[in-house]
Amino acid sequence: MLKKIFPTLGRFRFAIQLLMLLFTVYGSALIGHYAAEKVSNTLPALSCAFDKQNGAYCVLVPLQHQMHHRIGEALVQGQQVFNTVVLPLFFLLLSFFTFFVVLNKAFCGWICPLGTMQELLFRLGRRFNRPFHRLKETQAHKARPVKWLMLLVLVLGLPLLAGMGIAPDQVGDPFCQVCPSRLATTLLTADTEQIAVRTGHPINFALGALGNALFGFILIAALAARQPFCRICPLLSLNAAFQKLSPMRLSKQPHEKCEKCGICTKACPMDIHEIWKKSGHKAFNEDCTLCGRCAEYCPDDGVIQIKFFGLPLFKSSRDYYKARVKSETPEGMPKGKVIWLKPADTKLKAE
Amino acid sequence: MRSTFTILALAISLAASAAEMPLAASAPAAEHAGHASRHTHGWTNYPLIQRSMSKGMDGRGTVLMNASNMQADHLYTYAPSDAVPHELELTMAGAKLEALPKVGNYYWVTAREATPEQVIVASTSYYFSNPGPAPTKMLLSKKHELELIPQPLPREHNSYRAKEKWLFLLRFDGVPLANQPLTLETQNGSTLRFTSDAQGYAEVRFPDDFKPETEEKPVSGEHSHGPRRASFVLATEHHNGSVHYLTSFNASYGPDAYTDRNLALGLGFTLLGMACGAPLLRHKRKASPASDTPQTPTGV
Repeated sequence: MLKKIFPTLGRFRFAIQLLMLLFTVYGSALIGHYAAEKVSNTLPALSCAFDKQNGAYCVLVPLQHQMHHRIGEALVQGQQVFNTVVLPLFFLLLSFFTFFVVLNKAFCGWICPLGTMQELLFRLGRRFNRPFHRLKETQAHKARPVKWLMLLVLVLGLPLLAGMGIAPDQVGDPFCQVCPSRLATTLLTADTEQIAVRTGHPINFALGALGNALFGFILIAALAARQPFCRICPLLSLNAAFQKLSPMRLSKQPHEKCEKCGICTKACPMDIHEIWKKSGHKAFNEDCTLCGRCAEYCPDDGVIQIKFFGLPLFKSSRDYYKARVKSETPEGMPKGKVIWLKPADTKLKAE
Repeated sequence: MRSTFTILALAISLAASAAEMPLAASAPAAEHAGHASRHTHGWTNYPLIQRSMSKGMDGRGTVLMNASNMQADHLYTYAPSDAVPHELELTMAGAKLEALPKVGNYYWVTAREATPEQVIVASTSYYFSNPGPAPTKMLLSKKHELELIPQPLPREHNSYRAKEKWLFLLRFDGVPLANQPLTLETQNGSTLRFTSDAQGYAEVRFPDDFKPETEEKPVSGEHSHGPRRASFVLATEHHNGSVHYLTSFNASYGPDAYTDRNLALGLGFTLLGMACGAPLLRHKRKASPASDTPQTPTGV
């Protein structure tokens, strides 16, 4: 029965993503006004405190807040450091990593509402035959440091400096001010407050304008490229910083056919070339979101596996691959009925 | 993590309490005005429970609260999973409200002054970072004769704001009061009147009465702690026999959602971003294959 509903890992993941999108955006309507808040305190989902209907909020919000109002201020005041700084930060990170230990970066690939929305837009782009842009290996390498900069500067650095009184108070939550998920999830509840740019201070205005422009760009870019914002998302870098600690991980065995194959990289929504060119722990790259597409599209038995405490939850197989490519190409092009806006000769090259 | 925003809530509450704004004289509050009171607030004569101004005496998980415009010796706190209220002695400094473990986030706080002729009840809510059940049942449990119950309370990250409508249930002896008048007074000088419907619910629309913000640069190391807040009090009065009942609920509210925001500009910048992304949607006439893009093998 379950196999009929979810014939592929991709279908199963998509169902989870849609469910979590509903939950993280309309959570309080589903589970109640106060209950949603309880969930929000334990599920560090990328759905934020600015939403009025959501069932979850983003760990980056309290992280910026603690940097701003706890650590920065306490460093200046130099008092009650342990009780007011260390303990709250410890519990914040503990609750995040308790969740993280179970899922590792699968949060990004399975739960994040912004990730789901980008995937939906990409599917829409395929349906309407928009071009497909992927990052070359060198481009992917160049893009990777950006997410670390986002984490260090926007989530940790500026809030800390604002807390210490060195930077203006308006940069106390700079990432939130540019975060496209804040705009996307609030717009999904018909709330236009967040997309209205703040005009009270030039810094807020500049950050808001940048955030809105980024959001607009992501909306369009996601039609033609896979997961454009995920590549610079600080939550991915926060996850990546501790990915080796989690028992949930991606594993790849070296195989003689790998060198000439590379379908795994074609299937990877983050354009990770290491999954094709490397093996062992090096194949589990910092950009991996554990979506499992590489394992789905690997045509050889057991080469790529998703493991939890060493036990394979899913592993590649030739038969599965043959069935999978009948419904969708590794690049995400559906093989069912497609709405063409252009003549058929402009079909995706990869097909 | 759940405790993260508590400090913000505390700061907002403190800012609301400490706000010294030019205030219009509030409407005279009925019969209780002649009572002796320990503290008074100039903007209203209705009874209030607010954070004490004694800075430095409260800390994480504790808060000092005080009653004003009434004569009360104790505060009573109700937590979501507590069957009985806790009685806190009210001193000049205030009563120390402490977060109890595992009883829930939302505390209902009341003060009561009772004489044979009248019963005055002040009430407010306070949010602690504290796991526990939702406050739905606690809010609906009978605590006093005349009650003014928020339905619901704003969640941790939300609050009352100008132009927003919030529901309040009015009851007497546990029975909803239909067509019961309700008065809203704000620290910004507004007085509005509402009436409950047949089920006892009154829809309260908060007034947009914040004046334009004056430019004040914070001293280095000091923080503005979020948007402006102002206090408000909702009050209702009821006569039963020879006894006069007055019950109030006070909290704070903020400017409306679009204060210091511009929707047209926001949409404009979003469209600008979309325009920047638009070239990605155009098909190239002749795309050259990426050199490091893996080729689909023939042998699989």
